Amino acid sequence: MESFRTPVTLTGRWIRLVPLVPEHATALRAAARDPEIGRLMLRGPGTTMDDLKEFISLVLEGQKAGTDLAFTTVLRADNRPVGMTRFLNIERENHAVEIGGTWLDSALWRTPVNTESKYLLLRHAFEVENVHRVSIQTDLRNERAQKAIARLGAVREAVFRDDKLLKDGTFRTSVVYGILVSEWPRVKGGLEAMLARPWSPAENGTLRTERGVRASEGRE
Amino acid sequence: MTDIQFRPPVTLKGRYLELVPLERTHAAGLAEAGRDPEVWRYLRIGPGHPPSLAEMESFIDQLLAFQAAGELLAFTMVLLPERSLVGIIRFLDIDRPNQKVELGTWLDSKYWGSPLNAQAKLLMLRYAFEVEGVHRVQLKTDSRNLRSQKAIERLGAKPEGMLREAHLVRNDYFRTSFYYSILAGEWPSVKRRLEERLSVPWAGRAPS
Repeated sequence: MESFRTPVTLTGRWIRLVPLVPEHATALRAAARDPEIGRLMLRGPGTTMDDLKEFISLVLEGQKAGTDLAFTTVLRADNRPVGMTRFLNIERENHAVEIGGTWLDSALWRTPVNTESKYLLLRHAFEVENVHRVSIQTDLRNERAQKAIARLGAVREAVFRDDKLLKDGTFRTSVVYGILVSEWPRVKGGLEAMLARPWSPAENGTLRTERGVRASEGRE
Repeated sequence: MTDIQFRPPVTLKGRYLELVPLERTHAAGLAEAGRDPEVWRYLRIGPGHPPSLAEMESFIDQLLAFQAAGELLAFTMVLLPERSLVGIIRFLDIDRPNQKVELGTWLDSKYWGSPLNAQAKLLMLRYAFEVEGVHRVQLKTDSRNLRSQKAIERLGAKPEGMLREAHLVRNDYFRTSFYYSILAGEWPSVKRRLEERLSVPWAGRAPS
């Protein structure tokens, strides 16, 4: 695990994770219009264009410092940015990394988009970067996220009380999950089974372009 | 609330111990304090065996580099009144935005079971909660290190779980770490317990 330094593109069946750049802000703003999206995030896309630009530049600063590697999630069916995700807390000395800072257009919640994004990031971490461990954490109050993380096959390991100070001056408790390299084949198998199910991006009413053509392209 | 600092130099003094800023000139005394390999067995950094003078110097240099970067604040434990050096205690992972810090210790095995650990923890925790005003102090230890787990639980720190195979020890072994914490609201009761433990005479010395 030497890298996590060079921006890469990871391509899946439904989505492509492309290196985050400031120019994505306009398209991402449209994807972030539901205020529910960032409610339980430590730092999220916010509710205004300025919030989002500030969030993107903060993430890119972390990338420059070598602690983060950031992606824009692009829906392949209409080539539209629909969210962000990233590697963070990159610990080269411990061969460990965290996946987080993930947000997604709420019209795409409960679709295979998030599952596939985790699949692409985990595969890159374990198979290309050869990490020993991947962590995922969330707010203890965010039950939806905890269910989603557990469904990946990650093991719930620790509950850190009051470990992050929020903007409103209160402290949040974090739940941390882990996946070890020895567990990756099992987790990968589970993710591939979930991703094998049929889905059409058009069903979610999120496609902006001509539907029939684009939806079938997404299925390839 | 003002930002926490944890910047050197800080000196903390108790009845049995003075905690002084770690310096390279302490290397010989600390190499002597660390001559028992048991001291190093589970530690994430350090030589992993009784350190030579050169190894102790390079270990100290490593800690001082982290300190210069603002991530750590390290103290040498000086036994009173003889002023022999008995170990290192330090604040690490100083997280200013989240007002929290971790506490890590190693002590000459000759003094395991003595009040020196309680004394050092009282001085450090009092500094963290009462002078710096942190919200949370974290402690962690190797899942195999039962002695250290007992010592941490005896403080009254709350167990929070583990991170599996999260720390590579000397390029050889991925250690599972157990985590504990004390929150600011819990400090008064932790402090009372520590003061009680320190209220009995030790080795011919009056209680602190």
